[in-house]
Amino acid sequence: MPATYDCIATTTLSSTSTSIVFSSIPQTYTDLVIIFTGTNTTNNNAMSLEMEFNSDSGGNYSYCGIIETGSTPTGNGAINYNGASVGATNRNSQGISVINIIGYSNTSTFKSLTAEYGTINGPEPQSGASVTMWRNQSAINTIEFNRPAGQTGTFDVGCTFTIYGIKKA
Amino acid sequence: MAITFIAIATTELTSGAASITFSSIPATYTDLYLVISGRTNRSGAIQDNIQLIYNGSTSSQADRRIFSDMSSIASFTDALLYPGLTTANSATGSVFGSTMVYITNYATSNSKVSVSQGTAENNASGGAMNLGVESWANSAAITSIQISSRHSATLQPSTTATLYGIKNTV
Repeated sequence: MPATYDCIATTTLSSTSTSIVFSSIPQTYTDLVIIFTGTNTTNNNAMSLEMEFNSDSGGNYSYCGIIETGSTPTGNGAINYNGASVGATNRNSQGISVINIIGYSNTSTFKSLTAEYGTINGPEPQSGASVTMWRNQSAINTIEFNRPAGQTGTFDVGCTFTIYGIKKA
Repeated sequence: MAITFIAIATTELTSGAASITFSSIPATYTDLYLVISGRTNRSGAIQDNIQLIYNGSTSSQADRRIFSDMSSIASFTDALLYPGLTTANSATGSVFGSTMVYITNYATSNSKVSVSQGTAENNASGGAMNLGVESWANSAAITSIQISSRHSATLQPSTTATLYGIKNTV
């Protein structure tokens, strides 16, 4: 039986950073699974984790999510957002995101993804899930992880980003 | 490329049991992925929470959860690990809950952080879902995982649990 779940790339930060880029993503898989764990350097606030595809930072992403920060969960979303909102990090409390990108190499459909994430402690602990659509039919060949505009802090040493490729056959 | 997603162990109950335990988990993977199809005999309830215990320890555990039972939604924080759901005694017969838990860095000295999804469909009114993030703040590698009912109910026959190892070898 062929292997259908391969690790395409992984990186662990040895110095702080505000942006991590994976380029030249092979087009030989059907879907992608991305695992993030890590903290940030901000003392007072959580810092979100966002993704951009193929260097597109325009308002071409739509997302819908649910989040809890200790009270009744709330829904959120936007239709012309500048990236995919896929996680949260805190200082001194490991954040986690598990992201599934469906049909990333397809060249005839918009791209959709799901994310589940959370961070147990820190100044703004939370858990949530989101779905995002990137309104572009291009195959995804570059993924950039960054912090949203207007937020402070950096991804701390030890943050790990791993991309797995899944084949349907 | 190296094979990165491997079934380490699987158990299907042929009779009721208080728990399922995977022990001697090898430390040769990066992450673990746990899939459970479960039902308990919790009385008077449609659903039950799964409880996980790593290495026999319930200290330094924490979770945050979003729970919906079709009519309401709420968040919870716990000092134990309650990822996912099973169905229970009042659920329609032969209906089992489904749970998936992705556990990161289980073999490192970091806190063991996971995300989970669970559903307890009832094939009638009263279904439920649970989304969670969990943490075990312990530097030891996870070598055993015990799966049981939060309410000390009995896991029912045909309850199945499978543990996968995932390796980030390029």
